[in-house]
Amino acid sequence: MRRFRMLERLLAQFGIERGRFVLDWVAAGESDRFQKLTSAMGERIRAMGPLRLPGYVESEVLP
Amino acid sequence: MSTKPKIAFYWCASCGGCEESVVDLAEKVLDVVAAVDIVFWPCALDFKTRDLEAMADGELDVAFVNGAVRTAEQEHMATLLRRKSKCLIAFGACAAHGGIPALANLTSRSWIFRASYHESPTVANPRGTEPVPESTVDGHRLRLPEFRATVRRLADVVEVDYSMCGCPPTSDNLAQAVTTILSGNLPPRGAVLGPAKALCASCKRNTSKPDDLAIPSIRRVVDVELKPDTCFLTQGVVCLGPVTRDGCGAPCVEGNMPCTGCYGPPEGVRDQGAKMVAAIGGAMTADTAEATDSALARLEDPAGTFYRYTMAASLLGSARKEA
Repeated sequence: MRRFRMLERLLAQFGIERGRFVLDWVAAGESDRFQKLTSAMGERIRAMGPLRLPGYVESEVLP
Repeated sequence: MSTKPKIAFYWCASCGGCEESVVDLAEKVLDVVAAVDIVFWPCALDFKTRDLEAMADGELDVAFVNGAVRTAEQEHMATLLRRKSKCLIAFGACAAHGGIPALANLTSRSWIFRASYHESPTVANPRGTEPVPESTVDGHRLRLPEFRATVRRLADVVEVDYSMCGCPPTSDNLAQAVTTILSGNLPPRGAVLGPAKALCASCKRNTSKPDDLAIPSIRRVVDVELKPDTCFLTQGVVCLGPVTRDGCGAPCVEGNMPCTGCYGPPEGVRDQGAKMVAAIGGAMTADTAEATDSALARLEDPAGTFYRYTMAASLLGSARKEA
């Protein structure tokens, strides 16, 4: 968890914003919860649109 | 006609510190010059590109090239030096892993131009001029090397025979490398000329590091009066020793400053920054997300701290090949 917390901040500096990276725990029996988490993540990412990594793709620089 | 091995030194995107390392050989440079002919070293002596072009392919025995590759001219010189050399050495952190210049891979070319030519407080540029590869001024056609979108390692541009690490590699490293090359007793092609282990292996403070390292919170060097004999990590200060190649002689640690990682990752580590996230994260004692965030509050620039010299060699910050 500590590593992922640090990684999340690091990823933001590379242009991978908060929300695109999630750490959670789902037990083998919690299929409902798994379905909710992954659906929510999918919807969130769709709303955020494609990745805009600064420096890599010239036509897609930060606003 | 001299039969001594011919050596070249060249610089691409770098600060000049690597050249300083050659100069710092001091009287040892006489031993080097006695054993080899320096036939191309534009930083220190009056050589021109055409001197290099006039040489036969493979005429140079060894070329030490420092600096990362950002511009079209640097690409051209790297390619030319490759063709003229039997052995090409990526010399120093920038050539080997991108170094400080590659931190610019966290931003983009257009942002760099905006900052450098428009928004910097010391810039007066009312016409909004930016450098372009070709322009015409008063009927004269002017050309500038193109500024590429990303900073790359030398090995991303041409085939490299050996790498040497460090910002800069020490004069001892250089003297050792020249001796090794002259002896002909070389490691396999592609190897890093230097020890394989991490800096901790030779660090005098290593005995003060407990087996179960526990870091309550990250502290910066300005937050704490550093103890001269104690492992920096046990004092909560980020030291990249565990994920950095040995070979520097630990001058920073000797000067009571933690390792910032300029020798790049040791053997077996692919991504120095990711390895450090794993190492520090594993040693922290915070047990909730909130406690972790406050323990990390003083780590203001994780990417710049963990990838200070290896951005161009990292998984996320290297050049996207199709870009």
